[in-house]
This record gives sequence, structure tokens and C-alpha cells, in this order.
Amino acid sequence: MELQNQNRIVKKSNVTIKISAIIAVLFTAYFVILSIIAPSKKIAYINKEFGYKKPEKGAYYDSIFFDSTFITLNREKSFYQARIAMATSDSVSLSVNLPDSSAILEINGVPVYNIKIIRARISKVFANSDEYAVSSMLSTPFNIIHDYSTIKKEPVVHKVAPRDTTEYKPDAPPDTSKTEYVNVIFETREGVRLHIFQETNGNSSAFFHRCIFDLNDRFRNAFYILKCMVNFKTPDYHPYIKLYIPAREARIIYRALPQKGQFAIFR
Amino acid sequence: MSDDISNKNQKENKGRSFAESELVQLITGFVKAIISNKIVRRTFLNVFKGIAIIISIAAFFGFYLYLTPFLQDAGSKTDYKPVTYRINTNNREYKRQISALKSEVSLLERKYRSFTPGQSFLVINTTGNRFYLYRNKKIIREGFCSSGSYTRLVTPEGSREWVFKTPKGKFWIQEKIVKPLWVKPDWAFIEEGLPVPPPGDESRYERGVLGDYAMSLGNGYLIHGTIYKRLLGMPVTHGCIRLNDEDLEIIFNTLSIGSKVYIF
Repeated sequence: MELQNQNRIVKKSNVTIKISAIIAVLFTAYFVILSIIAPSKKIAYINKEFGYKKPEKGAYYDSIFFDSTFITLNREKSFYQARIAMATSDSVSLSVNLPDSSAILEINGVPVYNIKIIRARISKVFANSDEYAVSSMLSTPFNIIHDYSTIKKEPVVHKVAPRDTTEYKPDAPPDTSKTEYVNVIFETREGVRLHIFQETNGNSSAFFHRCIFDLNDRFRNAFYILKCMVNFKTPDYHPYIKLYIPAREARIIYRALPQKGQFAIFR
Repeated sequence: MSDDISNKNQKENKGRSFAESELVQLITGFVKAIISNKIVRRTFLNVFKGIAIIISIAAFFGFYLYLTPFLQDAGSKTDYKPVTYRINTNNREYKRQISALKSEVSLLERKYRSFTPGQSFLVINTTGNRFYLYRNKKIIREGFCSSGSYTRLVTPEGSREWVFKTPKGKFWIQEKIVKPLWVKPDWAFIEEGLPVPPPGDESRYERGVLGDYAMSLGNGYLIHGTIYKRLLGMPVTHGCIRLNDEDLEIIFNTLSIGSKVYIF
């Protein structure tokens, strides 16, 4: 009798394990499918929203879209359009020129600081969408709505004034030897994300901090996909641009750009 | 001679096989000891289970956090193939469209370049605490400066507060002053624990602390000299921009009223 009961418990637990495994596999498959569908949906959206719309009247030489001269000129045109749009504001903006490996801080259209990009990675969505559509999308600047970073935007120090001269102590010069690891992600209203990572140059501590920052972002992303799964929605894919630059320059970019800043991309 | 060598080889092989069999025996004995000993067996099983759990968790997170985004990127391919070859360039319509696009790009480029002033202007980097003086769109001088310290000063009662930061954006020189006189604001007294004198009081006026020249950017922000030269290159000011005497004189003589100052 006891042996029978034991067998029944073992069978029950085996069934539970099998069911859990099936659920986990289905869940994972659903997660993967939703994740993989997202970029394709984004590409379809970009192609539809920014793609070339044939004029109802008049002829247009359609084959020109495949011409390298046309593509280059169109990309340049988009970049200038975006920079001119950013120049209308008096605040600081960022122009990223990927072929030149440079990022330029601009104020009112005036380049004020040039930064050398050590390496960059760009989402495949940009390469796999319709060329004309991507150029059109990049012809307007991206508007930052939120950012994640490892440093403070404004390193404000709190100080209570002394009650009288006996309490007064002169300020000590700031400690500039402190090491700060700079990694930033800018989220935009348009869905594109600009990652600015500090180049580690073999520094293991900097590399570790970058990994932790990246892991946090991956957790946020996975959580977002899970949330979409629960709501039976396809998650929105966020095309990315990842720039690896020295910490000093990354800090300058992050602190110079306003909370709701803008940036333009030339690829 | 050859017999000697073969004998030696045989001996070596025998020695090796003997060592190998000893090793096998040792391992078998060890495994048998683990199996026979209940406590050791349980400990080994628990360690194995622990390692398996850790590996599963790592695989789980690795899959969700690394493999899926990788697949996402790999899967973002469509049928669209960017073709970058030259087409019939003698086609009249092609020529017309390319030339229209070229003139559009050069027009945009001219418009963009027109934003940079041809006259002298000053650029201040508040994060690096450096300045760059431009003339004819070229840097003619650069060096250290001091900008806002980002200190939030609060009165002991908490009734008033100031944040000492340099504003960012586009400004212009509104006034040029030789031998400037510092009219001390309230915070200059509060910061040192001194009683705040009434406006216009003699104790509010101090000469010599702002250097030989000052240029006003409006709202009380100045570009001026300093007596704390060792702090140049550090964020220590109350929002103004401090320069050393030599740089200040050159900038003062280069910029005129209306010259642009870009602060980032």
C-alpha cells in the first residue's frame, strides 16, 4: 500500500515536471517569436511611414533609388536637414557622423566640440530597411525623452550656509582624481536608442561596470517584452546606435546635452 | 643495438601501462568509496545538483538576455537588398534629378555653414573647464578656465537657496568692463556666515577680485579674472567664468560687444 502511494507521488511529480517543462518551452518559444517579429515589424513600419510615395502626376525615374550617387547625396541631404532643424534651438545638440567616426556637439548650428568615436555598432534595422525610408527618417533629429546613466547629469553638492563666521569653513578644491565610469543610454520619442559607452582600453574595472550597466539594460528590455507578452502585444523594437568613446568625452556629451536634447545621425 | 632499443621501448610501454592501470584503479576505488559511503555520496550529489542549478540559471538568463537580442538583430533581415551600382547616367531624367539633388545639398550645406559666425567667438566647455577662442572659424587660443561648482547653497533656516552653475547654450557679450567692481550679492555674505547688508551698502563693493577686465553675458553672469589662479581648470565658481590674466586680456581685446559665447 505504502509502495503504491509512493509510486503515485513519483508519477504525479513526474507529470508536474513534464507540464512545467512544456509550459517553459512554450513560453520561451513565444518570447523568442515575439522578439524576432519585433524588428521585422519595425522595418515594415519605417518602410511604410518614411518610404518614397510616388507622385500622382509627373514621371519619376524610379531606378535612381538604387544609384550610389543618389544614395550618397540623399544621405547628406538628410543629415544637413536634421542639423539645420537642430540649429533652430539655442541649446546643445549632438551630430553623429558614423563614416567619419566623429560626434560633434553643436549649439545653434555651430560645431563647438569634436569627439573621435573609437568604434560604433548600429542596429541592422538601419541597413535592412528601405534606403530612402531610412534617409527620410534620419532627416529629422531624434528627441531625447529619457536617459539611463552611471553618472549624474548635474553633480550638485548640497551645502548648508554657516550661521556665523565661527562656523565658516572655506571650500576645499574639488577632488578631480575620483574615477567615474561613464555609460549612457538615451531613449528617444522616435524609438531609436543611442548608447554611449566608455571605451575600456583593457581596464577590467571599467569593463565590469560597462557589463553591469549593459546587463541592467538587457533586464529592462526582457521585462518590457514580458510585459508585452502578458498583454498579447508585439513589443516595439528599438533600433540602436552604440558608440564607444573615451570616458572624458562621454561625460562631456552627457553633461552638455540638455534633458530633452536632440541628436542627428549620418551613416 | 636495435634489440636494445626495442627492449627499452617495451620496458617504457610496460611502465606506462602499469601507471595507467594504477590510475584507473585509483579512480575506480575513489568512485567505489563515494558510492559506498552514504555521506560522501550525498555531498557529491548535492554539489552536482548545485552546479547544475547554477548552470541552468545562467543558461536561462543567457538565453533571455543575450541570445534573444542576438536573434532579434539577426532576424531583422528583409528581402530588401541595398543595391549600390551606377545606372544609366546618360539618362536625361537621371541627370536632372541628380543635379537637382546636388544643388539642394549644396544649398543646405551653405545654410548650415552660415550658422558659424565669421567674426570672433568664444566656446566654453564647463565639464572640462576649458575655453576655445575662435577667429575666422579657427581656434586662435585655448586654455583652462573655471566654471560653476554645482553647489546648492541653502540658508540655515532653509528659506533661501542658490545653485551655482554656469548656464549652457548661446550667449553674447552684452557689456565690456575695464577694472570691474564686484557688487557682492546676498549669497556672498550668507556663504561666509556674515550678516547680509542692505543694498548699496559699502561692504557690498569689492575692487580687484574680478581681475582687470570683465565681460557680461547677462543675468549677472560674467567672464572675468581671478585671484585663485591655482583653481583654474576646476569647477569652483558661483556661475561666472574665470580666466587667467593673460587669456582674459586676449579674449577681452578679441571679442566685441555682440560677439557670441557658446557654453556647453
